[in-house]
Amino acid sequence: MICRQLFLVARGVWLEAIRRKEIYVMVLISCGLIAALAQVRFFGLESLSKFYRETTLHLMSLATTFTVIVLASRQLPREFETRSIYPLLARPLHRGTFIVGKLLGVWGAGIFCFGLFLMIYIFGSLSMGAPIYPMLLLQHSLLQVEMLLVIVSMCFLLSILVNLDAAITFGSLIYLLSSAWVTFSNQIYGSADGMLRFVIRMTSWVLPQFMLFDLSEKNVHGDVWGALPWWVLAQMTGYALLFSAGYILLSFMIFKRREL
Amino acid sequence: MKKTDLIKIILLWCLVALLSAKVQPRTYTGGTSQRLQSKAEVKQSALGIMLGEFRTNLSDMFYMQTENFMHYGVAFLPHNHEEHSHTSDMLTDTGMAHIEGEDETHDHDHGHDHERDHDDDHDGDPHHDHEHEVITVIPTAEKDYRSWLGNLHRQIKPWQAPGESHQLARDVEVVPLFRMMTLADPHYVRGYQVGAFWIQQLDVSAAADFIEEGLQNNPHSFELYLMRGLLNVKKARSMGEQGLIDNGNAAQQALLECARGDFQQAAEYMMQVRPALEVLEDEAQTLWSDDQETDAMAVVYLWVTLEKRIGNEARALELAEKYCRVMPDHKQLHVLLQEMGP
Repeated sequence: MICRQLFLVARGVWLEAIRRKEIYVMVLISCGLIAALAQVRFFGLESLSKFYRETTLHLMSLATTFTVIVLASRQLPREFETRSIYPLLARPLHRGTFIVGKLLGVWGAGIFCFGLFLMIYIFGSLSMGAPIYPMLLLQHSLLQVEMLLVIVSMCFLLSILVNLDAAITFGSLIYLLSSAWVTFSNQIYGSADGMLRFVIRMTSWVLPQFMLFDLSEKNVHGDVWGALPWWVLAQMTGYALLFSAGYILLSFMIFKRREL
Repeated sequence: MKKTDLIKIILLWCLVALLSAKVQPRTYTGGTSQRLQSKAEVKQSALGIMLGEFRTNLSDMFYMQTENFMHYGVAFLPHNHEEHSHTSDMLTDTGMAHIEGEDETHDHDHGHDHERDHDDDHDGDPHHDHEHEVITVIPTAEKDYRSWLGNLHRQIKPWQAPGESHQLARDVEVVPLFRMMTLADPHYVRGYQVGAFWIQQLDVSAAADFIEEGLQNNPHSFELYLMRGLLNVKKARSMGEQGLIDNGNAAQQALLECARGDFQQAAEYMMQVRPALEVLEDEAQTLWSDDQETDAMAVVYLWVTLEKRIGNEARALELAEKYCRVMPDHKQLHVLLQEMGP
């Protein structure tokens, strides 16, 4: 029964994603760029593939993430705005099921996007004769999928706390600045005083460190770097689940108290 | 729409067309890439460190990316020490170490600072070990406040302990980055120079075309004339048996003559921009880089050597005397002068 309800809510997300044209545009432009990049021959030289691989892997991650941020941030505000949440919740549908169904829907759409990009990436690499490191690519994909889960749940929480535009903006900024913040905090931590150190430590535990889900560098230089040990993947999966569960739980608690 | 609005739009359209016809992007000479002083300022900026690869302009970002490529993705903090002198490599690569032809055991130390160069033991080896201790962007476990998160970071990203000797790839895969950086900033001479070094390993003609493009955008760059001269020498050597220069080979001689012209032009432009000796001693760090001085020394040495090789002994002697006065620290040129001296 719950599975069916989850599926129905998730299907609603997919149908909406198909109806919304901007998602198409984002995915198609990215696909076009990846395909075009595979055709570029710098100075007419063959066999140069690292630039293609690096740019494509970053583009894939960026395009999928932004697609998911837009899609996830819109889910709950849109339901309230169009009042479609009322007939939905009038049925015997628990609010938790509703949120988890939405989460699975957006996550599924993100995985679909990433899968599409991945196919184009693999096709482009093969057409260039570039090496593919299957285990590293699989691990990269797994980490990216886990990252999407964290992003979806984070955007759900943001969209409940603030309005749609602010949720998209905050979600994008947190994603984009996550890596820069970690680098910066590592640099200044040694010279920071007690209070600042506390703030830095807090942010590193409260905000997810998205660059940990990116294995693109090792995929590009896969000739010298091996696959990750299983315990690293297990810890990363735990890390993603922990953040995702925390965000969803918070979203649910706020959503539950919200008057319809 | 009112008639006056339509007239305004047409006028605006004409104005835009007129202005855009006057736009010449390649005449823009700004940007931080060219000026050492700007680079030094950026490297001391806290914001620059915070933003990592976005600390300077797009062109610098691509240049920094080449370092990541060369270190197999390991990210190091910006550092002033360049891993190697490409001019030095180019001298060996183009065979200028054997320009005399007959003397295969000739000293390789031609007009450049040998201490900055690679160990000769590594020639032909795709990987180079380096002992310089540079700081990685991801800190060591002792310095990382994130405990297990830091450990995960070091496992997931390419990382090596700073003290360990790290491998340096001699990887032509960096070539696209030089294309991008010179497109972003056509006045980035070093991008053309180092880019051509990498391209010539795959295709000398493509490298020559790249340098020609660089010269069109930077017609007074002595570094690019130096590079063009070296490429001409490489072409000449590739025509001879076992890479040797044959006096009877007209095509080879024509290319050497072109190279001589390039070195001469390079020396003239170099003298126009190289600060006076007393200024160099005071403000060498901001006005004239070590790379430029290495290139300047290479230019005059190669010109003198080539004049001698072509048979203009008197001209070679005259030039050696002149440039020994200009560059009193140029040991190789002084040795050459002693060899040629009366």
